[in-house]
Amino acid sequence: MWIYEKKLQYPVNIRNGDLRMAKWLITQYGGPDFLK
Amino acid sequence: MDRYHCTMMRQLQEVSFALVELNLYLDNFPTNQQALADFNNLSQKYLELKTLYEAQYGPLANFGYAPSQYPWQWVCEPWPWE
Repeated sequence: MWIYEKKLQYPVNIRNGDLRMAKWLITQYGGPDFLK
Repeated sequence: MDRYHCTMMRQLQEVSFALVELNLYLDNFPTNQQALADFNNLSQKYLELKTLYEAQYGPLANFGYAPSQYPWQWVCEPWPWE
């Protein structure tokens, strides 16, 4: 049903890391209680 | 990732992006023959690109969908975020 593909669906080029933004993004993927 | 590797990956991403969009469209309009023809053409193209890519850079998926050169390319070739 689910398979790992070694490629991104959309090309992403991360130029500089932003931990606050990363945390905010992951809550959007996992819902507001994700990682709490 | 060298330049050719990036170009190959980019081509794969372009075709698979179009395939996902056509897939979603066809889910809603399964009798659209033009969309179906486009989907079939692109999936043929995707298969060709994928075969070329995997011959050079190893499997794109695990579970035995493609063979690997020595050393085991799944773990020795860079991950998408590298």
